[in-house]
Amino acid sequence: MSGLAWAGLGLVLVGAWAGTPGLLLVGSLGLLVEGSRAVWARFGLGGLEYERHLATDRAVCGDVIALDLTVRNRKALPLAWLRAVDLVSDGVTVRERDTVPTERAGQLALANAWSLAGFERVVRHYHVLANRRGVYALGPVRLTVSDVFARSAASRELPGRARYLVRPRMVSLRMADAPRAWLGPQPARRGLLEQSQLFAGIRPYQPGDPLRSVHWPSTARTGRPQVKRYDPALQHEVLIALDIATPASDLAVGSFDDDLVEGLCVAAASLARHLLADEVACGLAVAAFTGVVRRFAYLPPGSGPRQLGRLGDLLARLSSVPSAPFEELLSGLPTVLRPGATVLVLSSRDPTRRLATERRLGRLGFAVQHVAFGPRAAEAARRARSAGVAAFVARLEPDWQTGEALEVAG
Amino acid sequence: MTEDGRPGAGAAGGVPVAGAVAGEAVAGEAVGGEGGPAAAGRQAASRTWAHLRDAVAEAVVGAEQPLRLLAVALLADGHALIEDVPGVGKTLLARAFARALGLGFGRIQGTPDLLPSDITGSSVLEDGRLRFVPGPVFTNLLLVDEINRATPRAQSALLEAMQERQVSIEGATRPLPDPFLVLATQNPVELAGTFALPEAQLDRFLVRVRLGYPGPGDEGRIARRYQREAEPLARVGQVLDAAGVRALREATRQLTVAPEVEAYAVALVRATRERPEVELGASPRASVALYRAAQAGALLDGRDFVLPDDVKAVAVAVLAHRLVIDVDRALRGTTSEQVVDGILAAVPVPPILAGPGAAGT
Repeated sequence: MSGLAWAGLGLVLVGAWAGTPGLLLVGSLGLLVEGSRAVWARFGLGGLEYERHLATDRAVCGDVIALDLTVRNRKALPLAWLRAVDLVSDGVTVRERDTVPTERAGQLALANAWSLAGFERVVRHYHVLANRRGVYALGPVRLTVSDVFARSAASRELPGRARYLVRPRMVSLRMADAPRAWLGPQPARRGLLEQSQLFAGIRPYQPGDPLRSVHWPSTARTGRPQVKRYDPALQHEVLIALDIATPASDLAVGSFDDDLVEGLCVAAASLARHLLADEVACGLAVAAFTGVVRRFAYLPPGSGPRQLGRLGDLLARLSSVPSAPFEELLSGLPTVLRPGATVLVLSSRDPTRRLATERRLGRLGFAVQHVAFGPRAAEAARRARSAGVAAFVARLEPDWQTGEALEVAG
Repeated sequence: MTEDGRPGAGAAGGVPVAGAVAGEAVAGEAVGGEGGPAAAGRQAASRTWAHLRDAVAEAVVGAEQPLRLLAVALLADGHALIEDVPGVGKTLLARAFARALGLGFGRIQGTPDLLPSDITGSSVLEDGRLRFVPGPVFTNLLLVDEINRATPRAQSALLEAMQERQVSIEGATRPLPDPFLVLATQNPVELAGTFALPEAQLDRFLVRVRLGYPGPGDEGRIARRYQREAEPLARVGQVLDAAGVRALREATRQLTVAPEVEAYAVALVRATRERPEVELGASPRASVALYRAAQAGALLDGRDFVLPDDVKAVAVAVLAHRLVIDVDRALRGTTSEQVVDGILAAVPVPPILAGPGAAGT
């Protein structure tokens, strides 16, 4: 029993012994207050359900996601005061309600309060503004019930999270010059560059054919050695090598230009969308953190219907700071890419220190195109061209949030 | 050849059905027309479904709904695409289904070096003469495992077979056995070295079946099953034969479909073309598929008439894989299943009234 309860009991006993109605009344009130708190502390959280429902777990920057918060009181005991505090990721913005900072780093609080009758259900409709790319979570939630006198009686934290991912915007592309140059010289015209996945048939064995090319079922059927032949590689492969570092990163470790990073992500997403619409196999490589223990984020080129979604997911997860030097990423590309693929180097920085690596990629058989982005794009493109690397300038005006098209010019 | 090496039923007709109870009407008998024989046929169909379900459950745990869709595809004279992540039992379900039906069974493993002639067959020179060696497609039930690992060239070899039940090889057209059903499996994760099925081929599958991960209880049963024996398929008995399948298919075709139910099915398909989220809606082939699939579902329930609920029950499986979702909507997480669910919620279900001329009378 609490102090107030003891005091109330004492006053009741004294009042009864002394025959003082006033003391009896005050003591009884004290016991009543403490009694009500005890009831809500014991039973308040029982039969109480809390649900979060997001209309979608995938959105694009600029979207609005409907959020329904539902509380159900599955018992007869009414809840005069019910407070729910959702811990949400930094960056979650709810149109109808402000989030407040908490003592936990990277988390904000979204608070709601209800009054529920017995067996009542209340649904509140909110709208989450997907303002920036990223991965966001809502939850866990701390529920607190109070008695009729608004005194906190019981509290419980419910685990469970609702997550949503915001992909960067994808805008249309306006290309002034020679976009076909991005696709590099078609591998089929450069001589026999068979694609091992495009099995085209068989032909008789000729001296010098490798043993691993023998097609054994046909050989058994015909009684003579037959080898596999392949169609030449016809599908273009393009890898977007995104340099997530900005000029600010060159000045101080860990610093970055937020708007420039977002602009780069919009540019990369828009390029990918355009290429995939042209049925070009497109992939992405970035030296950035994505929430897993891996220094590089890599999505192999592909042209399937889900490739654009996967690209968007990867871009959404990227950190704004690099995880490794971009030169290291470029140097490792020959181990994962097929010769003949086009590498679009998308960067907002001065390319001078990386041009040697880009030229080396070109000598290894990759068609390297430098796409300069940002306020110094024209100068960066000029330097790349003077070093013998084909270069384009990409612009997103007026900014990454409202720009309608990515303009690319040679 | 059946799944376990027994002589297949092929097109020639029946093998005694081991799973049927002695004295009961086998599904191949006395079907069609009005009155007693028709009722007996429907009851036999319902019992056959129960036997089939129990037989396959000896090997495959927790797959009743996917199995029902395979049965629907069989009765509706269609083909089924089984799509799901690795390791959930796609191939096991297909093999158990084949074994329970006792039909001729052929299998093709989708590999990048698969030739069209590996599917359809080819001629070989023997003693100075050409002899045609039929490919695995000349069977009743063809399992194409990992179809999206085969090249587009090989996939196209299946197109004619699936649509027309015949193949053209070296100028000669050769019919395929009856019944003929293609069960194709594929992994939805698009790894390097896979080729997405084109819309034209996807449209030829009557249903797309997804198994999903088993529940915790079922997963435990699966583990214990393999502890008990190395090959659970050995416990799957035969419950039907080719003649029985043909009879059930004929019974399916004769099921009554009220004009209201027919209009409802057509309305659902047409609605797929009008949704803003859909870039390419379902074709008229989908209307036929939905119609036939609903009939098959009604027969499995032992009815001789189709309800709107039968159409709803198969709508997602029949329509979802035929839709091409708008890129912007897909980026926001919209799936074809969600679109079909939305259509089902939006298109009003017609009331079916009892009375002269109404379904069921």
